Amino acid sequence: MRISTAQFYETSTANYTRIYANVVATGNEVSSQVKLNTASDDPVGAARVLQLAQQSSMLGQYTSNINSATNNLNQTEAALTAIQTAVGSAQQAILGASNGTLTDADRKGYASTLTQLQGTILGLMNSKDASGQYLFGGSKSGTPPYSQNADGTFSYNGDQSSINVAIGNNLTSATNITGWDAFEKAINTTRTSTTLTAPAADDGKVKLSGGQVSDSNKFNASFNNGQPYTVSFVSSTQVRITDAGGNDVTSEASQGGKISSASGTNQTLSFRGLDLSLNLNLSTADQASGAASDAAVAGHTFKLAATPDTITTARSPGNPSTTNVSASVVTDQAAYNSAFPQGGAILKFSSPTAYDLYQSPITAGSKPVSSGTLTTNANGTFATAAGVTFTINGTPTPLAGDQFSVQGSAHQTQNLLDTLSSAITALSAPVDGNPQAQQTFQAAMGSAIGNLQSGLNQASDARSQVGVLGKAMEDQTTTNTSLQANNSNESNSITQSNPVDAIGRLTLQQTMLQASQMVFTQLSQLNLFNKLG
Amino acid sequence: MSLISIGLSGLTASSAAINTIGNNTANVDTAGYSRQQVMTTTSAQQNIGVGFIGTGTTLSDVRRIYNSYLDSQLQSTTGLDADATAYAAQATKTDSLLSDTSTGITAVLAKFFTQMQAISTTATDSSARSQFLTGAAALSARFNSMSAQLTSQNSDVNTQLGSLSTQVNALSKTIASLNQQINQASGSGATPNSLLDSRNEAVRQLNTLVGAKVTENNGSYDITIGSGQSLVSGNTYNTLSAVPSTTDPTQYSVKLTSAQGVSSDITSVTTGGAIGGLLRFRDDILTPAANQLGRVALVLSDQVNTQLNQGVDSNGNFGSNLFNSINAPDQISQRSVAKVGNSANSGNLDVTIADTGKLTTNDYQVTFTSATGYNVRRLPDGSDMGTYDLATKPPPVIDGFSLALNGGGLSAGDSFKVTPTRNAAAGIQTVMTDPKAIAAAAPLTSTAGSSNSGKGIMTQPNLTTVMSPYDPAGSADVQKGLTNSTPVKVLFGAVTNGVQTYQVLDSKGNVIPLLDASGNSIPRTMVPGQNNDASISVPMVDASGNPINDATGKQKTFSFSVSISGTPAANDTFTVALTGAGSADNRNANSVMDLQTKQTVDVSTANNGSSISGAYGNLVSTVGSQAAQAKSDSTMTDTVLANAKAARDSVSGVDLNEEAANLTKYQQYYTASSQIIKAAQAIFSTLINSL
Repeated sequence: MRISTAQFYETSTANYTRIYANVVATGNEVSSQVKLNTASDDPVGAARVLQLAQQSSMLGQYTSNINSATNNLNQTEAALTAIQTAVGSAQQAILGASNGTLTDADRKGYASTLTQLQGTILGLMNSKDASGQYLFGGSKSGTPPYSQNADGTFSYNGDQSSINVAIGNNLTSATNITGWDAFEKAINTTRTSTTLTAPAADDGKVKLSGGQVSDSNKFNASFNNGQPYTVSFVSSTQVRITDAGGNDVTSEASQGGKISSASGTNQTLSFRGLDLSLNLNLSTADQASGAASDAAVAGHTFKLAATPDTITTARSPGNPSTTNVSASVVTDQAAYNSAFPQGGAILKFSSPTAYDLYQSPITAGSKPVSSGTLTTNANGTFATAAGVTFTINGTPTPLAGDQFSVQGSAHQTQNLLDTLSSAITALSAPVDGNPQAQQTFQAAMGSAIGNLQSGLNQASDARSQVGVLGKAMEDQTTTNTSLQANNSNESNSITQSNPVDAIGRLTLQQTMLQASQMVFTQLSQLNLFNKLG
Repeated sequence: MSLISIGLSGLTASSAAINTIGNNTANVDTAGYSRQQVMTTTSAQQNIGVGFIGTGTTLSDVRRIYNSYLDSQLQSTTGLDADATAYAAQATKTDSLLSDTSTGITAVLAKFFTQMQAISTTATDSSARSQFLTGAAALSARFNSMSAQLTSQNSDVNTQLGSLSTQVNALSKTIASLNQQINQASGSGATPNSLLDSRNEAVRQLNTLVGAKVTENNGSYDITIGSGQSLVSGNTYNTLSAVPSTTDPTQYSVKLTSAQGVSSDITSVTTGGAIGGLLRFRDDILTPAANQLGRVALVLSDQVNTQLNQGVDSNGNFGSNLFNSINAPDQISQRSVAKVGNSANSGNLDVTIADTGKLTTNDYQVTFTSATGYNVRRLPDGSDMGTYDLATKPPPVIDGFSLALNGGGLSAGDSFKVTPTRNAAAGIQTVMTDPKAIAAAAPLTSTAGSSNSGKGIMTQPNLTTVMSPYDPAGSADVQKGLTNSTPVKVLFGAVTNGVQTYQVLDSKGNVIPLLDASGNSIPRTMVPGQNNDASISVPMVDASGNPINDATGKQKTFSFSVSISGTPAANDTFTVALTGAGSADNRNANSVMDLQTKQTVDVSTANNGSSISGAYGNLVSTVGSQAAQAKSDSTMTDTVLANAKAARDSVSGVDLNEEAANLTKYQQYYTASSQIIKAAQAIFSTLINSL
C-alpha cells in the first residue's frame, strides 16, 4: 500500500502521542496506587464502591454508638454494684438492730448508720455520666431521678423510656436502665394491712400485723379475688376468716385457723401466701383459765385487705390563707383509677368555695381534670375530686389562690429509699418497756428485711440486664469489625491498583515509546531527496 | 515536421511534468491536496506516403489523482469522529464532577447521616446538634455548587454552539463561492484542480463542525445537513444560528435560516460534527443528570422535613423544617417555562410536587386546548400523559406533580415546558438555625401506672397521624389536638374467657368509645399473653375544650399505634402523654436515620425504587458508564478516521520519494529531449555547412 509522506508523519506523531499519554497515565497510577479515579474508569466497579462506602459509613456509626452505649452501661453497672454493696450493709445493720436485747439508744445508733447508707444510695441513684446527664432518668436525663418530698418519701422524677440506638444492620439496643426498672418496681412485701373493726376502742389484747407476702405466686393467684377479708377471733385458740362474699375460707389458713392462747408469743398465721404475725397481750387475770382467755380474745375482728393508695397533700408555702387539708382518702376507686392524674395533682381554689383539680405541674394552658364546690356536713368540710375526698380544716376558710399538691402513692411497690426511711422511723421510735410498741417494731423490721431483699433482687436483675446488653454489644462489635474488614478489602480491590501489574505495564509502555522514537528517527532520514542531493 | 519541433514538444512535456512534480513537492503539507499528474498523448501523425510518422507529444491533461468514494468516506468519518470527540470531552467533564469526592455528594451525604446518628445517641448534646446543622448547610451548599457547575457546563455548550455556527456559516460561504468559481473555470473545459481540492477540504472542515452530506449537481456541490435540510445549494447558502429555544430559553437550539428569511429549528435532527456531539451530550447526559440530581435534592428535602415535623424538639415545641419547603411559592413558580409566543398576559404555571416518590427525571410539555383544559406530553419520547382541566379540585397529580395557573388567562395553543426537578438542586437551602429546633424526640411517651400489679407491657406509642409541612392548617389542628387532648389513659379491665377488655380515657376520665362502621360503640379487647397491635384514635379538642371539626363538621381525631403484650391485671393503667422539653428520647431521630436506607426515590417502578444515596450512586455510575462508552467510541472513531485518511492518502497523498524518483526520470527525459534538439541542430548545421 502506498504511504504518502504526510501520512507517514501523521501516523508516527499520532502513535507517539498515544503511547506517551499511556505512559503518563500509567505513571500516575504507579505513583498514586489508585486505578479508579473517576467512574468512567470502571463504571460497574464505581457503583459497587459507592455502595461499599455507604455500608462503611453505617458500620462506623454502629461502632461509635456501641462505644458510647458501652460507656453508659459501664457507669450504670458500677453504680448498681455500689448500690448492691450499700444494701448489703443495710441488711446487716437491720439484722443487728432487730435483736430484742438492744436499748432505744442502741437502736438510734443503727438509725444513724441507716441514714448514712440511705444518703449514699440516693447519691448513687442520681449518678451522672461524663456530659452531666443522669444515668437512671430514662429520657428525662436533665432532672435528678430521685428527690425527697416534704413528707419524707422519695419520688421518682424520671420516666420509663429506654433510649435505643442502632448497633448493627436492623439491630437496635437499649443504652440505659431506667430508675423505674431498677428501683421503682421492687415489690412491696407488706402491701396488705389489717384494721381493727371490733371492739371500737383498741384494748391492745390482740395485735395482728399487716401481713408480709411470703409466697408471691400464691398471693397473686388467690388473695386479690376475695378481699377484703374479715378475720374474727372466735376464741383464744381459733380464728375464722371470711372473704368479701361472706364465704368461710378458714380452711386455707395455717393449721385451719388454730392459734395458741399463750400470751406474748409471736405467732404466725399464714393465709393465701400471706404471713400475719399475731400477738396476744393477755393480763394475768385473762390467763387464769381458758374461759377467761376466750372471753378476752373473742369478739376481736379485723379487716384484712390490700392497702389502698395513700393520698398525701402538702400546703403550698405561698398560700394566702393558712387552711390545711387534714385528711385525704380514696372514696371512689373507679373514678380514682380513671381520672386521677398520673404523676401528681394540684388542688387549687378559685374562690373560698370553688376548687379545681389540675395535673401537676400547672402551666399556662392547663385545664382542670375536675372541678367542684365545698360541701359541709356534720363531719366537716369536704372537697371531692377524681374519686378522692379531701377534708378541709374548717377555720379559717380557704381563699382564692390557695394551692395544695396532692400525691398518690401506691403500695404495690416500694423503692429502697422509702424502705430505709420506714426502717429509720421504726428504729428512732422509743419502744423500751412497751410490749405493743415492740411488736409493732418487730413487724416493721420484718417488713424492712423483706423489702430490702426485694429491692436488692430488683437491682440485681437490672445489673444482669446491663450485662446482657453489654455482651450483645460485644458480639455485635465482632460482627461489625469483620464486616468492615471485608468491606475495605473489596473496596480496595476495586480502587487500588496492583503495583506489580502497573509497573510491568509501565515498563512495557516505556519500551514501546523508546522503540517508536527509534523507528521515527531512522525512517525520517530515509528520504530519496537526501540521497539525491 | 522538423526534428526541432519534435524535440521541443518533448521538452515542453518534460518541463510541464517537472513543474507538476515541483507543485506536488511544494504542496506536500497542504491539507486536502491531491497529487497531480501530467498526461501526454502523441501529436497528430503525418502521412508520408509509405506510412505514418509521429510528430511528437502533446500534453493532454493535468489530472489530479483522486477517488471520490474514498473522499466521501473521509468526510463522513470526520463527522463521526468530531461528534464522538466533542461528546467524550463534555462527558468526561460531567463524570469527574459527579464522582470526585471533593465535588460529589456521596461523602457529604454520608456525613449528614452520621451526624444525625450522633444526635440519636445523645439527643441532649448541644454540640452534636450544632455540628448537624453545619453538616446540613454543607450538604445543601454542595447540591447548589454541583447544580451551578452543571448549569455552567450548559452555558458552555450554548456558547460553543454559537461559535460553531459562525464557523459553519464562514465555510458555507466559502463553498458557495468555490462552486461559482469552479463552474466558471470548468466552462473552458479544463478541470480546476486546486479549486476542487479546496472545495473538498472546505467540506471536510464543515464535517468537523456538523455532519454534512454532499450531492454533486452539475459540477456544484449541494450540501445538506440534518435530515436533508439544504445548507449550500449552487451559489447560495443558508445561515446557521444558535439561539435560545422558544420552549426553553436556557437551552440553545440550532436554526437554519434561508436567504429569504424563512427559518426552521433543526436541533432535533442535527447529527455529526461537534455540533451534533454537543447536542447529543446535552440530551443524553447533561439534562438527565441535572434532573436526577434535582430529584435527589427534592426527595431528601421532602422526606427529612416531613419526618422532622413529626417530632418534638429540645424546647418542647413541635418540629419544624430543616430545609426550605419544596412547595414554597418561590420554588413552585420556577418549575415551568412559558413558550415564546404564548398569548399576552398568559403568565406561567405553578408546579406543586404532591409525591416526591413518583417523580421521574423527564421534562413535560403542557399544551392548552382551551382556557382551562390541557394536554400533557412526556419528553423526550413525547408519550401522551392524558388530558386534564385546571378547574378540577383537588388538582390531578401527574407523575407526582400537579399544575395551577399563576398569571392572567390562557387560551388554546398556549404551551409550557414543565421541568419539575431540574432546578431543585440549585434551590435547596438549609433554613433551620437553632440547634434546639431539631426534633429528635417522638411526640408521645407512655408510662406505666405506679400501682400496676400485673405484668402487662405497652410499647412506646407511635403517632400515625401525619403533620405535613405542606398543610399548615391541618398540622396546626393536629398540634392543638395533641397538646389539649392528652394525657390519655389506658385502663385495663377483667379477663373473661381469655379475653381482656380495656378502656381508653381522656384527661378528665371520660371514656373514649371505639366505634364500628355504623357508629355503634364496641368494646376494646386484647388477648393476654400475646402481642396485640392496637391503633387508638383520640378525638381532638382545642384549648377551651371545644372539639376541633373538619370541613364537614365531624370531629377530627389523631391516632397512635401501640403493641400490648403480657398479662395486665385489672385496674392497671398506662398513660400516654406529650413528650416534654429537654427529653433525651431519640425515636424521631432514629426515624430520620431510616431514610439512609429507606427506598424513597422512584417508588412507582416495579423494583420498589432506591434510597437517596442509591439514587445518587445510580446517577454517578450511569454518567460514568456513558463517559466510558464515550471514551471508547472516541477511540474507535479515531481509528476509523485514521484508516479512512490512510486510504485516501495512499491514493491522493504526495510521497516525496516517489516525486524524487519522478524528478530524476523527467530530468532524464528533458536531457534526452534536449539532445534531440541538439541532434536536429547538428543536422541543420551539417546541411548548411555542406552547401
